[in-house]
Amino acid sequence: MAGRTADTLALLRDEIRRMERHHAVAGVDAYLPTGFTALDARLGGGLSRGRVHELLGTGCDRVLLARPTRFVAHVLARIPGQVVWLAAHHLNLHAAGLQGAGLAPGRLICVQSETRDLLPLCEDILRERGVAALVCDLCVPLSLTASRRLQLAAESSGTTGFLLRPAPNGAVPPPSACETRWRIGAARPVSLNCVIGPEHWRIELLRSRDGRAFTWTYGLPGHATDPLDLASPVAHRSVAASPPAGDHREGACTA
Amino acid sequence: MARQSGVRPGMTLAHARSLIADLAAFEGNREADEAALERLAAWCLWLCPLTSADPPDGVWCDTSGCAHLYGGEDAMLAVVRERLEALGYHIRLALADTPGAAHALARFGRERDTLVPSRGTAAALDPLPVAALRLPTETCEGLIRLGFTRIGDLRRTARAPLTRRFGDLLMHRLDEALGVRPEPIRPVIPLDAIRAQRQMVEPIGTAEALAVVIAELVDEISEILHQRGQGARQLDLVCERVDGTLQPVRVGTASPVDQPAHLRRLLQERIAVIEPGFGIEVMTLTVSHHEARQTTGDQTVLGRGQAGGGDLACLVDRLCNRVGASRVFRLTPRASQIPERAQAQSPVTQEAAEPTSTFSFVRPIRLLDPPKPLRVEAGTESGAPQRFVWDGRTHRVRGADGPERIQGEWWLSDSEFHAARDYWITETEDGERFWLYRQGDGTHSWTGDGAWFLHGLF
Repeated sequence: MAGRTADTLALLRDEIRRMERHHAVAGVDAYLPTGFTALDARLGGGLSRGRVHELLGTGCDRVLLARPTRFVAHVLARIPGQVVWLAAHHLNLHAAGLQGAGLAPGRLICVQSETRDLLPLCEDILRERGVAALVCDLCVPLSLTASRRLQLAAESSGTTGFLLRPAPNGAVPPPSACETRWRIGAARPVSLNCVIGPEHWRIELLRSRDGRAFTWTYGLPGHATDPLDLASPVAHRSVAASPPAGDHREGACTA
Repeated sequence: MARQSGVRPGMTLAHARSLIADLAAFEGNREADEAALERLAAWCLWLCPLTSADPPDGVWCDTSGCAHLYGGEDAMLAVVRERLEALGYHIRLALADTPGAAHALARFGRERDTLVPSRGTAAALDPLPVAALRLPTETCEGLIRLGFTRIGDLRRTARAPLTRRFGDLLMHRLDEALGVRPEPIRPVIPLDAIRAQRQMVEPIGTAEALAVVIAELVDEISEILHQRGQGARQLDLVCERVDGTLQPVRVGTASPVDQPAHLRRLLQERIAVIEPGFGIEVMTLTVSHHEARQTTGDQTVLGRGQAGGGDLACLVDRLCNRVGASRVFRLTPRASQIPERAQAQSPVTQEAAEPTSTFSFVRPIRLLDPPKPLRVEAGTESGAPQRFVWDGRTHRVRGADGPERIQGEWWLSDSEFHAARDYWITETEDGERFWLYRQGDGTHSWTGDGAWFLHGLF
């Protein structure tokens, strides 16, 4: 009798755990490493798998979103599997650029949809177990409910979603239920000579579900015309403008 | 030739012979013509699920919900014209809301190809002669004698007196052409088609009920496909409504499929486009295009070497059916130095091509298409920009890398024979990186006008 009670309890606990959605992801597979060591350490391993992440651009890049796109490509280059890239307008990705960012263009399935179908399609693809990730060039407003739906869809399948959100007027979009929100822009370069050296990125974690806002500055090595592989050019340097919120830390990129 | 000499359809042979002495005349064979027309209607099934012969000289195709598969209605008409002309037919095409209107416009319309916008049927029909309404000759003559020459005249007059004089048919035809009264067409059914049908005891209308019926039909069909070693490439689901109208749904697959789960999912996704009205009585599922399955089993190109490949093939098919096959693609590199030509869109079924070349130059991940013109205010002697205006702001260049000269592809067109572009990677004082180019080499005017463009950001 006692044994049966224990069995029933174990079964019920399992049931509750499933209801609480703890089954979705667990263990090492729970994170997608970004390749930026300090950033990964801070996030406990990388971006959460099976969640939806938002990325914004800033400055001149706030509509074209080249840097956020490269950031996503860096992350996706580290995991296997097919990636669906969804856009409601003409998809302006450049295969050579993708290759340069480490993501083989052959892994992408590009989809162009009508604007009104964009969010339903997003949700549908996020429910699919066969794809590694969905990247969406979001051009429609995202309500809190819609973002919650996307998040639930991603959790149900373990597919990670990346929403690239342009901000034509420079304003930060209203809050959403996404796991994290990032803003990736340029930092002022250090060296004063007129040779193009490593790129400087300012990666801001604007919002995270389980943590504080944070800012990193990275020097990205490997500009093609750069003769030296500069691994850590900006360590121990303070940027001109102090970050708006949270700590500030510099790190070296191992990308 | 004969037409130029004045020979017209409906002439007596003696009259025609008097116009052209050595006229080659052939005896008409009505039955053979009709059989050929039926065959042509069956051939047209590649276009849409419901086609029907419209004797003596027409074919009706109900293309509802098919146009997006060909990239829009214009593109669809172009495809139809091209394929039928390749068979040696001289054709006139009309696309309208109702079979009656299409019939009228194809025969009496001003243009060779007519595309009537939705709800524009009445306006398109108004200027046509009454003969366009498929009426008996006596009725037409009677109408003309009364002064009704155009369909618009009929539409604007009282109905009762005309019905009393000419019978019900006149107003029926008018209503059918205008879409007030539904006109079911009798679809062609190819003899060797794999099909399954369910007749409902009670008309159904809910999405759940439709899903159940679809599941049953798919199970039946996939059983047959499996036994024959075939896979479906295209399925047509036709729902017959209580009011007699037919609701066609067509789905396609990228490779032959016989798995019930895959097919069920494709069809159940399209339930949203079925309008049940007062209920659906009969549902028919037809395999309109099938191919032999690959002998390697259910493995598809996508499924090679990774788990969940079958799901992926299903996803790709579903996406293709939702947004149109031309809008689901892979980016494949193409051998060209011109950045915007260096990639092509290829269907997802094709094996993902490995990149053939290692790109020796840095390229942005997104290109502005078309490149945006930009004003360069100052430049160095070497041609590098020093200060430029973009987005309403002046940017000062801190460092520039270039030029990377790209010559026009003279083997493609003469205008590119001397054309050149000089690309620069410029870093501004804020750390933004721009990919700019100047049209021309800066010294020779025939290589380009020296205008600057922004082509991307890093």
